Amino acid sequence: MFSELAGLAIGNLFRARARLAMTAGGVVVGTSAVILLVALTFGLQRSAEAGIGNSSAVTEIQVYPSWEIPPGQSPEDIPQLNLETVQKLWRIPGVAAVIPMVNLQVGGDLMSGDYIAGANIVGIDPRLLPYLGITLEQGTLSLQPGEMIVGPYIGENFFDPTSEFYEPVQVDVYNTPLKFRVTNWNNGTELKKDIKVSGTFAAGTSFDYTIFMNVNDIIGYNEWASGQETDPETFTFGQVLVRADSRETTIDVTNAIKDLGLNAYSMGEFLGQMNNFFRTMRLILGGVGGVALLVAAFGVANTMTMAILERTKEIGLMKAIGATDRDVLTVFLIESGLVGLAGGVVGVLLSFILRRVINQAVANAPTGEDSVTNFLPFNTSQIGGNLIIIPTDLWLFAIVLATLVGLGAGLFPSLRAARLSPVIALKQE
Amino acid sequence: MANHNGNHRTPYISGYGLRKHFKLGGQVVRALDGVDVEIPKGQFLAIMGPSGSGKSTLLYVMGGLDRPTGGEVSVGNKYLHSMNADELARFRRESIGFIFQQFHLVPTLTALENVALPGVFAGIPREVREKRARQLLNTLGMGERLDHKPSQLSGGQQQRVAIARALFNNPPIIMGDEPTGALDSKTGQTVMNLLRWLATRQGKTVVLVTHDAGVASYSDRLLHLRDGRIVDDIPVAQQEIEDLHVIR
Repeated sequence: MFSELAGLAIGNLFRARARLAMTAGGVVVGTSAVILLVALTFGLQRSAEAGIGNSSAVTEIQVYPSWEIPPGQSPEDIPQLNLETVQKLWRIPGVAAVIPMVNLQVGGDLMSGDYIAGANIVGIDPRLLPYLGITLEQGTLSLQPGEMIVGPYIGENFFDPTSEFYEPVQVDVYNTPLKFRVTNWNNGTELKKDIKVSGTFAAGTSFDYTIFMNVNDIIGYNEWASGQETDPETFTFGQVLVRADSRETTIDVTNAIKDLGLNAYSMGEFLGQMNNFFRTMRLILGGVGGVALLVAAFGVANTMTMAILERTKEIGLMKAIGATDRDVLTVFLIESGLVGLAGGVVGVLLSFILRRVINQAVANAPTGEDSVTNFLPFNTSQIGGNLIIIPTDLWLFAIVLATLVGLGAGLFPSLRAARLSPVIALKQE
Repeated sequence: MANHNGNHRTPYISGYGLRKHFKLGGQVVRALDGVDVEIPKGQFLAIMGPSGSGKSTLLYVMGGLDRPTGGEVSVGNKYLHSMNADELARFRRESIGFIFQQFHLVPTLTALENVALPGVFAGIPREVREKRARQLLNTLGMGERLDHKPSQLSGGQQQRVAIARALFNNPPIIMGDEPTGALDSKTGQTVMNLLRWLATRQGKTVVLVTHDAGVASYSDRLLHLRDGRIVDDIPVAQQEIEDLHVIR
């Protein structure tokens, strides 16, 4: 029965093709506006996330001792980054790894011939290397005594200490023989050791300026500088990094660390706020597109009203030959719903075409100081021509929305048609 | 009221005290003002009267297209005045085939599709619909023009398509509102003969509204309306009525 009435409605639609095209055209524009504006927020969100760093940064939590003393507690009660704290952190559910790091407490430089480079030099347990979230570019993930893994920007920042001017010199740290110089500032003594760079890693993590060394090497240098043996009772780590096992658990783990009386900071937390921002932006821009769709709805309502006026006699006839009010309502609602559906489908196709055009334009846009794309709030090269991102959910939603707009706009005209008195309808001139 | 139609069978269509009053520009119009009517099964009845006499209103009230504001109207054992809109639609679908002066064919549909249209609302499958529509059009001599649009047909042909459509659900009653009003007299006669044939051969009850006395001569009985009242009720061609009974 429904399919029979639908067949009738489809036939009716093709009576006034030009009017159908124009009415559906409004829906096309509205649907495209909704899709493209919302798709833009997905693209901007992606580019913002790309700016934050690679995905490993999202599950990374930096742990610090608390700066505030809770009321009723003495400074000694505040948890420090000691071995006991590390053990507690390991027990938090959702933790993939706890990575304690020991800082070199004396001056340390890399030396290549006459050139030197400073760095943030950190000692870690080699077994924890896989949890750092670094991607090796050269070498192996190994930290035997005397080995180091070097951050991506270290090699670019060598300089001649005797020169009057600072002129960075690039050194291929992986393939050049290097020495490691440790300076004890207290008495001016120096140690110089041959060092082997076992690996270098890619940029984009929080360790771009870091050199990793075996934790025992660092403790050794620190003991040499202080002249004292390390006491496990009072030993504290310079920093502790906690790796959550997924993006979703990061916030929970962060909160659990705070519950231990420590300070914790994660990108995940910031990401959560950023996602909220983009959700709001999506609603606002979606609403702007929705206004275009609302205007289209008035077009559909107008067309349906006209169609019903034109076909009043036909409505009377339909009723005379046995159509119920519901049949008439169904025929006209299917018609207006189809206008919405057709507009929605074409709108989706148009959006896909425009996505291609816009993304190509962005990808091909020149970058640099004078670039026309500098007004954009992101680096066009960073998003790789993905300014407009249309997820499947979005275009499916848009088609459903356009159909509902058609149905909604057609509801009142269709109800009027359904309630027409057949006698009056038949007599209309 | 006196029964002039020459037989004493129980009425098939009956209306008692029918009134249809409505307000138009502050004035109460009495389209029907107390009409009693009884129509036996198989009768060919013509309703005449000047325009505004209420003849079309009476037809539509008896056909379930319009509601009386007073009185009772029944067809068979169905009381139309107490039916809701859906029940009336079902009644029209099953019991009445309407023909109109302006044919009221759907311009975008072919002759075949127009005839089959009542089947859409009756929920009859397409193949069955089209087979029946083809049969009807063949019977009415329109077998060559199944795929013509109404604009490609003459007035008489269009009215034959409309009659085929009226017959689609095989209703016991055919009602016509000036069915020959838009046709020349020769074509009009063809259509009237067709309706006459339906009454005598197929036992349809036919009720026509007309202002053409020539049309009225095809009928068994003539009702005259003026100002919403029956002023005359005349049996015509008594002999044919009796022939009809012989045939049955």
